[in-house]
Amino acid sequence: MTTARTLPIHVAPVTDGALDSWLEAISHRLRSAHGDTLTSVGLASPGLVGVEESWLTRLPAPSAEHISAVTGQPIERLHQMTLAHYASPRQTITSEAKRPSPWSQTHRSRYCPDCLAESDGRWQLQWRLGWQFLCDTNRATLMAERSANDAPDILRPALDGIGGWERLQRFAKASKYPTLTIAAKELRVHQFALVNQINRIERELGTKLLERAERGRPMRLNADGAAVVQAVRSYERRRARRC
Amino acid sequence: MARKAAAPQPQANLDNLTLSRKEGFRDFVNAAARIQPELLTPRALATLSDAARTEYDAQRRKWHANLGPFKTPQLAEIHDDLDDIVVSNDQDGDKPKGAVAIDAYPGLGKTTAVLDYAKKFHLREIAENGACTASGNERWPVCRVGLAGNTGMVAFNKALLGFYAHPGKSKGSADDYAYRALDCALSCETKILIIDDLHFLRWRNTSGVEISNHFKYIANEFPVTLIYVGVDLDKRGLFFDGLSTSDRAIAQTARRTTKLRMAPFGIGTENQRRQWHQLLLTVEQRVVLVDKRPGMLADDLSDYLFARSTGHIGSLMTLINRGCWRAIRMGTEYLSRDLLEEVKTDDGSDSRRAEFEAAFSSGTLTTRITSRKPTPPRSAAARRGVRQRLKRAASTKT
Repeated sequence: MTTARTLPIHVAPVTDGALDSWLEAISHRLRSAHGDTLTSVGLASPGLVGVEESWLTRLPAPSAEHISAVTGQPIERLHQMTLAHYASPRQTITSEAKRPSPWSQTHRSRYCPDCLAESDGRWQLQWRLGWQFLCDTNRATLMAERSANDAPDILRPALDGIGGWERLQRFAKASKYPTLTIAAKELRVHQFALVNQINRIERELGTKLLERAERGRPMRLNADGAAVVQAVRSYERRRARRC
Repeated sequence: MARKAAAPQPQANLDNLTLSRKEGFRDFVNAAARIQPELLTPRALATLSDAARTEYDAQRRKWHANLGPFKTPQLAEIHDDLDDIVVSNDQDGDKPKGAVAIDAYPGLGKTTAVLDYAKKFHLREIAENGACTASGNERWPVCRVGLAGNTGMVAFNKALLGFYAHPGKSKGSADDYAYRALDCALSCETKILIIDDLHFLRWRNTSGVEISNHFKYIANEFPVTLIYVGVDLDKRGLFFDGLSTSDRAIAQTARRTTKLRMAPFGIGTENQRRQWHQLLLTVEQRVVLVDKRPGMLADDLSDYLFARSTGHIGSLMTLINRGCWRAIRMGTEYLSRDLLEEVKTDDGSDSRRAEFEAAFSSGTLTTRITSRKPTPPRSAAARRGVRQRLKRAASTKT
């Protein structure tokens, strides 16, 4: 481990805040890339490992010491910001703790939009718990990060990953252009990124969506592709009305 | 004199890189003053065991390598001037703050003087306002950046971020880095920004103009006093009052910068000779050689040391440091002309040595002072006598 260098600017954690949210707040305050902040506190990006190994769930002691040295926060305070804070002899924190209840469609953390607005976007730790449905402060039901409940069935598998909805929207827009090269240019995205994203949607939905352009023939949607685009458009309209 | 031999002083290991980082700077500032190793008698030295002797020599070696800084008249003057400028730089945000440039030849103790001032300033600020700012951030009253041979805009800003340990050093545009650096300076309430080795910059090419503009940006946006340290900044264009269109950008930096010079020791006047004498006396007191005696440097070697160092304190200290180690190693435990003859020093100081030595031997120049302790003359006749003596002494100088 590299020698701990203290951060010049301090950002205090909020009560009930999650560790990653606090680190993101530090990145935001320092205006540095989040990856750089994580490197400076000696952590790897979360999400690369399973729930049980993740530092969001349980912070290893050496990491806690390092972060404490860098940020000046007491080690106990750091542990309070991980899910292990909720661990007890009767409740071990494993992937079970984050498992959604049978009637929930979401695999992501829930949240209270009012709390988020009030706390300047700080994520509360308890929202990560699978059994947490209510916000005590605002006496409201927690929202799922995306309302996948009412999403068309055809889109759901592609909505699971981070940025899934944005990917689908981009695919719908790109399908109007004659080639992916032109689409990438018009949408101001790198062609490589666009192709990758469309490939990912096709993989997640388990079907081809586009017939790629050939000499003398523009790219076109196949039947599945057309259905997906239509579903995206209608879902988009529904979301717009809801907002 | 049966004092116990001084225990090795816990010292932060100050390598060359440390001053570019805040932790190193803090260690430098907080380092306890070194304790002078005890001066043993020749007999006591002879009775030391091999191990004890090795340890004693190592202590002395470390001590002689770090004799300074000496409160020379030049150092005191620079400190006074810096204090005038830094403390008076209390303008509102719409007015740029004046900068300082310490411009002198190598070996005169520019960096030593500035760092010594920075150290006092840091300690004063921390003592008055605490180690944390009101908003809970770290307080760093002084930031120091050393320039490298190819420092451009981005590298300069990254060096600033590196000092503060700001994590955002790998991603971002030049503007992002500048913003982050400004944020650090504001949040950590930095008041002095020292830019060392400014002569490394190539002023007349594009990156030089860019950096010059960047310094203006810093002077405008950052609430800090810039202290440039460098060699021959005049000729390199820092103070160039631009004549052609392309140079006018540089001229603006020139107009806001107060130039402070550091002169080498001189021997032209009685006062200067006294200063030189005083310096040698101080060095003599600090040297730990068992056979040293009063007047070893200040009387016997005064002319010789001036010729060897040409009045540059850097060269003098190199010579003394190497001479002392040689005296320890050879067992002579005394600094004599013969011993120092064997010690090689920098080329720069040796270049004018012959010239000075000729002048000393012909009597054109001398470092000798008229009397050790001038007693105040009691009568008008005696005062006249002193004046005449001083006049005579002054007329012997070139």
